[in-house]
Amino acid sequence: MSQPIRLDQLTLAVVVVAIFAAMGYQRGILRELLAAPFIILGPWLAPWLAVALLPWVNRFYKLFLFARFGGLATDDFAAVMERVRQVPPLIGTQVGLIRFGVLLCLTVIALGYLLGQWWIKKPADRIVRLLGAVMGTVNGFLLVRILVDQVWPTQFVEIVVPMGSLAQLFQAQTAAVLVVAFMAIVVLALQRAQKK
Amino acid sequence: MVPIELVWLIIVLLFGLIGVVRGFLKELGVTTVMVIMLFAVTFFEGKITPMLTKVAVRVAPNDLAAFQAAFWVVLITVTAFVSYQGQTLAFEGAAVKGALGVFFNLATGLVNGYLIAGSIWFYLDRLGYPLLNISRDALSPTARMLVPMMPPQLLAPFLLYVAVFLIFMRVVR
Repeated sequence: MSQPIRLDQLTLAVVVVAIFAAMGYQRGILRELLAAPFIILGPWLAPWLAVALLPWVNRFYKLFLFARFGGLATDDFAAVMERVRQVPPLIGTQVGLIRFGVLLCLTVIALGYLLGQWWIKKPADRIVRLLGAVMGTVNGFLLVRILVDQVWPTQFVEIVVPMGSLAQLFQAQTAAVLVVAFMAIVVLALQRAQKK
Repeated sequence: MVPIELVWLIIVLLFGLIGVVRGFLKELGVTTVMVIMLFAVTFFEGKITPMLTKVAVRVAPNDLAAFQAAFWVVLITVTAFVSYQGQTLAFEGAAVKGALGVFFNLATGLVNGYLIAGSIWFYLDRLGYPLLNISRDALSPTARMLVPMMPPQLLAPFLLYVAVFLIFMRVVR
């Protein structure tokens, strides 16, 4: 059995994971640990949030247009309303909704990173930084796994690889990443336990 | 009937709570024992299974699957019991306080729950749930998706490394 691999996605994955590893080194493992649940929750929450917020986004968009076309200060209120009515909604198609969902997903993930930046102090020593790099790699991998098919679905080169199942390969990769994350947490926990 | 994945999840969460109460230093000792046991089982499975089948043919010829399932469940449960009870392989050190400590405790407890309940589910599924009187066809899509993610299948290539890592961390401290 053979499976196609998307080469450009692989390159993207390597670059993203490397960037996240570097970020993790700068931020330390505690900040990265806080970001991890947001990376996992973001894609779950985003579709629901997108549907829930869609009417409000379109309403506020029209409200903005209403103000821009004259708003309450105008003499011809009906004309302004007619102009606003003729403008299509900001998000009116399925593709637009998906893009909005991706944007919300990235916002949730960014929130996780910002909260870590605000609440947790800078890493004090090198071991915390190195563990942060490990956890950053895990976060980067999770982000790639979750988002790459939504953000980068086309324009790829296919190569045919003989193997049982690509899904098995990805499953093994995920397992390896989770094992590494567990090891990093154990090292940090034991380091903290030793300090007392 | 309660879905099997929900039962599994509840058991894992209970182990998480146990972890919060016991602390990660004790929980890591359990993790070490469970990982070593799972490594031994997956490594010697090729020898264990034929022997087990031979014994089952003699002892319970009409209930081969049930006998084998009982063996795996008892093995995992007894190992878990021994690793939790009495003199354990607890790691040395002082408990970490605060939210971070709770996180470490909860995380290691959940990992132990995953290792124990997940392994039992895996072997029950492989033998067709002989002790539960349910069939694989009755499983929900979520349960079918989760079964390949159970420790004996998902972690098999990494069990040796994790075992060596945990023993190393236990010894060097």
